[in-house]
Amino acid sequence: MRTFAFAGRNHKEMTRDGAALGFALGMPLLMLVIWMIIAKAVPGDFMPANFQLENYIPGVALFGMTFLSMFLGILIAQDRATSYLGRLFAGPMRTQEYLLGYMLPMLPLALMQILLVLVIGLLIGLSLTVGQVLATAGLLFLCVPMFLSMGLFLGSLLGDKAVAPVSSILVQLMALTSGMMLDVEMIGGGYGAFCKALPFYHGLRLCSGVARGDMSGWLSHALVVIGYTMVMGILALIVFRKRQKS
Amino acid sequence: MIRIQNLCKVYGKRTAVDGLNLHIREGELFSLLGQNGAGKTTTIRMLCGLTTPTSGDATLGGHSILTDVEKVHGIINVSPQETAVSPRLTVEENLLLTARIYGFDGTSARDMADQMMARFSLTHRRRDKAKTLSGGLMRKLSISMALISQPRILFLDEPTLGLDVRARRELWEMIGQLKGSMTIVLTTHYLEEAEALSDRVAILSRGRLQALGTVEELKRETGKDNLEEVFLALTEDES
Repeated sequence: MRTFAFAGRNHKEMTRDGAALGFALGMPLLMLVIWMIIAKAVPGDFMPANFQLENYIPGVALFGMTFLSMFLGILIAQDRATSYLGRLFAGPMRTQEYLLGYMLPMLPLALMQILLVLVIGLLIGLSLTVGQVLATAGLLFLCVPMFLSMGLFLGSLLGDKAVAPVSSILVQLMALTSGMMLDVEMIGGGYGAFCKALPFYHGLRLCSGVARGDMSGWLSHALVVIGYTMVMGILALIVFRKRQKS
Repeated sequence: MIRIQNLCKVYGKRTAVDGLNLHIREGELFSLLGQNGAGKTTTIRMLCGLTTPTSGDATLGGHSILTDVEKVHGIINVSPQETAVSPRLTVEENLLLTARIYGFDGTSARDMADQMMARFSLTHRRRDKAKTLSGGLMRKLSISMALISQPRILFLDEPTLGLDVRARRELWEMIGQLKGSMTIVLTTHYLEEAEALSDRVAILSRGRLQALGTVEELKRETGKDNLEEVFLALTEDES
């Protein structure tokens, strides 16, 4: 009950911040507008593989999740800065209840973001059956905990002034290493190895598999995503617990 | 109600609290006084289980802050130095949330929230977001959030800091009304506040207990006319 009460508070704090909500939904839409501009200028046959809708649309959905990660981090860091969390730490809630309470209200936002991007993707030419849309949405939703655990970690670790700039590095990393803006396979070399060491490339390969009609290697991609989720989640738990008792 | 035994906190080379021994009685309003850095907030943080002591222990209602901190958290509440409210939640939502976190069901939480709003004259602002309140009203909300859980021990860390004279007097009156119903530990820089409200005061200097007693006892012991003179005499070598 405590977890849900706290989750309700966090939901209100986030949804009543119009700028944050607008950003979370607006940035993926902006990326879709950018695609439409590119598509108008580049004939279909010459469109690079990474900009094909089958790859780009799941990429935009994952890109949107980095903003949820940022907002979660900012909310936690602000709570710490204003000593609001300090007063709650003197109460009966446990570490895992705090972390769940922060994560739960992000899930409906993430789902809304995923569905919005997929629906717009269908409207601008992505060709998928209902089953494929649902499968892609399900795979995208599986990646949400990874981004949220990153937000939990950053918000627990950094101060309120540092969390936004550092989170924006996360946003850039996602865009540049996932294979959404640049073709990782084509560039290869050290850059390719770097991208494959991070989870975003694997997240996009996993989530775009259904649309691309190529699910090869899905298990290894899924394991990387799950591994990063666990590592970031454990780190968040350790750092948050340390903040509870300084 | 609160027994502090040889409590110490060391940060690197700096000793924030140095071998503190105190006994605070049930229902007492007890003030911890001291200059900035004297160890007041560190002491409160340790008593609330938010900072681990370097050595020593304290028991609150019989529960140790070292071994039984969850039980300690069940009987205390705190109103921190800075106003700590959820800014985009309304006055009512802030109170309801605190009550729910402390285990009240929906109906009881609403009843308690109504009582708190009536007691602290916040009812007319119940639907307003906390961030729109004045400093005085926000502080009232912060204190009512600490009271809604019906704690046996309440920590008030600088409750009137930064408030104007009228708001401060109003809060004194409200804190005064709580006397006897729970144990209250108050830290403040306003000596007239401590003088007006406290049953007993402790003066800390460089983490050590310099004096302990009622205001009248301390005046008698030091031969001074008021608490401010007593305080200045006892913390002279610190400045």
